[in-house]
Amino acid sequence: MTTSASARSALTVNILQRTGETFAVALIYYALARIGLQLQLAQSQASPVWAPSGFAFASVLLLGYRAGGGVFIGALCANLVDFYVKNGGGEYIEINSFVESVTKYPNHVLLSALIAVGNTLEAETGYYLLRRFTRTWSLPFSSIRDVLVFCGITPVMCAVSSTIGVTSLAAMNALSMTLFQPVWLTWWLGDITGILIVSPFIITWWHIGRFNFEVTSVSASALSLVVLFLFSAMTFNEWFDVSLFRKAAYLLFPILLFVTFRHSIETATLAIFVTSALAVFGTIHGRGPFVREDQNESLLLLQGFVSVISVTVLFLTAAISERRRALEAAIDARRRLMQAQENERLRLARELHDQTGQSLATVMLELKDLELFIVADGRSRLALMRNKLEQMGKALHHVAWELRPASIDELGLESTLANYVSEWRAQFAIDCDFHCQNISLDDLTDEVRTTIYRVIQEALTNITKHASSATVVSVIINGESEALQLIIEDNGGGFEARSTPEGRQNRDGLGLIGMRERLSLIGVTLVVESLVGTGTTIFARIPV
Amino acid sequence: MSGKSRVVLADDHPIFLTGLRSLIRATDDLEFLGDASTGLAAFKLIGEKRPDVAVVDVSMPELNGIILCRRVAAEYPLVRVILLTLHEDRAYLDQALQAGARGYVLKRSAGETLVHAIRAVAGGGLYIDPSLVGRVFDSSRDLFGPRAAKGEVELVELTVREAEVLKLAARGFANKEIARKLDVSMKSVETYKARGVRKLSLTSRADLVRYASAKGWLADI
Repeated sequence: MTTSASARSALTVNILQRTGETFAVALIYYALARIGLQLQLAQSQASPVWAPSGFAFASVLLLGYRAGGGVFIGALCANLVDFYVKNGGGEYIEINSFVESVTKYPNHVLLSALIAVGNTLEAETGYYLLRRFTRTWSLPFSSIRDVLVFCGITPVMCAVSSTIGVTSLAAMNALSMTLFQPVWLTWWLGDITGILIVSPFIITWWHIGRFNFEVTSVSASALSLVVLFLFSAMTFNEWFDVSLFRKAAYLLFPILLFVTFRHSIETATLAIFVTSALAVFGTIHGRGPFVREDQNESLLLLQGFVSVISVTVLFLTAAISERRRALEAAIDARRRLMQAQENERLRLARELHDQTGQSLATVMLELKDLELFIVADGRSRLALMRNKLEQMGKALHHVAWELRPASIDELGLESTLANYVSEWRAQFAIDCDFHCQNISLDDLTDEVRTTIYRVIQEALTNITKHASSATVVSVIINGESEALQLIIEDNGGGFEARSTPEGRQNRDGLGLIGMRERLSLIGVTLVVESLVGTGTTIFARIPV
Repeated sequence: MSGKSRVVLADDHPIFLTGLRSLIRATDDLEFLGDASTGLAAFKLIGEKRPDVAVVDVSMPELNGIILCRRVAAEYPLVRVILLTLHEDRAYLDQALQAGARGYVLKRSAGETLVHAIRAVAGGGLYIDPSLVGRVFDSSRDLFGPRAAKGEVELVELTVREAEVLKLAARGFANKEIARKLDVSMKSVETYKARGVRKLSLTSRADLVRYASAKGWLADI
């Protein structure tokens, strides 16, 4: 019972939601269409950018085929009102006279419906084609192929709307056949630019936060957009009256490219939108570089410009996105490689230590036992063999220990490090002081523990190789609230002391790069401070 | 009492165990009581036989040698345990001694040293494999002086700047960051630090961190 009741209420919610969506799509479409009709060139009555097309396409992409209903209703209303206004109805619609006008001209209703069908089919065709030709549209505009498909299908889908619309007009004698071709072209181009400019903007802002771009601050993006806005206004609306800008729209390109490179895809699509809006607004009001005697020429120049910036920016963001993904994949591969190497070392060390070491111990014990049965002469030879085996065992142990001390996993990192440091101190006769506080290293992930161990190992090796004058070395691990700080300091010669390019390159070339790479794989940057005659300090703050 | 030391063996490698057995049997002053190849079996055997000395492998299934050693030390304190191991790391030795082992012998040299070890331990001594002894006495405590925090003996007066620089350095800031925070040059940071460290007679950065920790400098971050 409750199940069916909750199912029914879920259904109700669903119906309500869909109705709401349809209504919202219709309303926005209608509003954009009304605004679009205001943004026409005086003589040709053509909108350079038909924003409703872009909106319709975006809503079908985001909501699916069902968004078509809203598009149809919005388009129908917009066209009916347009006929009403053009028949002298005035800008403010009076319901009575509107109904009167609709009943008086039934063919306007039919025509409006046909045009609305064209508008709806345009968006749905685009959706179908996009799904047909892109593999995944889960992260829009993030691959060059997807952008290529998007730009390729736009003219095709727009031909659907313009053909249906203009044919209907001609068939119902609302348009003379001689005007068929130019009107069709204007319609088609207006829809194309509308889609190129408005759809990416809506789609990317709808998905905001899903794009894994470098997090740049909102204020930096806003600042860039303000700069772009000012320069666009200077170019198209003759602000500040800089004559160079009024003539050369291409001067905006560096700014647009900067915004695209520096900021997120959302900012880039907003940038397209800002520049295009100002271009349309200025040109319609007879300002800016695209104003010509012949309005058709003016229209084409404007449409060409906005289409080019949109396509350029979209391709660029896709390329940046692909590059970023390739980099991430490379880092991931390096991490896995590092992990595989570590696993292999562990396996080898265990094998050497537990298997071979055990066999060796057994053999030596057997030899000892054998001594009892052998004459004095043979005993001394046996002792010699045992001696050799003893050396082998030592070497074996050392190799296993260097590969990866079993104690990291068995006794914990802290005692392993303390032991490593004391072995190192004994071997190289350099005072090395290990101090670990406020943190339990064994709560860290395996990757972080291994990284810490390897970085310290490498740092100490570096000191023996490059800072042999060091007499005091500190290895410090200090736990903080959300990170641990790793510091390795020596009082050796410091970097500039070996300021021959070769020396520095060696140091940077081998030791530091290895440490940097290891740390970068867990997202940590290495800070190195070195002073002549004072020594070198290495800092790494590792989040935990 | 016969004067012989009574011995129990535990190791999970059968051939090695055989070797040990014949080693004990061949020695006149040692008496072999029995052997086991898992930790639990060894614990049971020790409880039954109450040997003078139990020779126990560190890595055994069910119950490893360290835990076994700890249990034996707690329940049968008269039984002395010698740990046999493949590990030459000092870290393992520290752990074994903490668990109450009286002897620590590397498997590799067991043929040479185990009998000595058993005798020494049975006589109440402590036996550590000769190849590890060097490392035991090689620790920082002996070679480079005590590493305790030197917070107690502060007779020197640090200047305000020196104290500030030392506090920041102890908290892990790089010289560059300290210079920026205090609005002084890198060179001065280095000077203040060197002077402060000398006044407190600290020898290393780790020493400084210990000192700061003891003084409570790190708490008020």
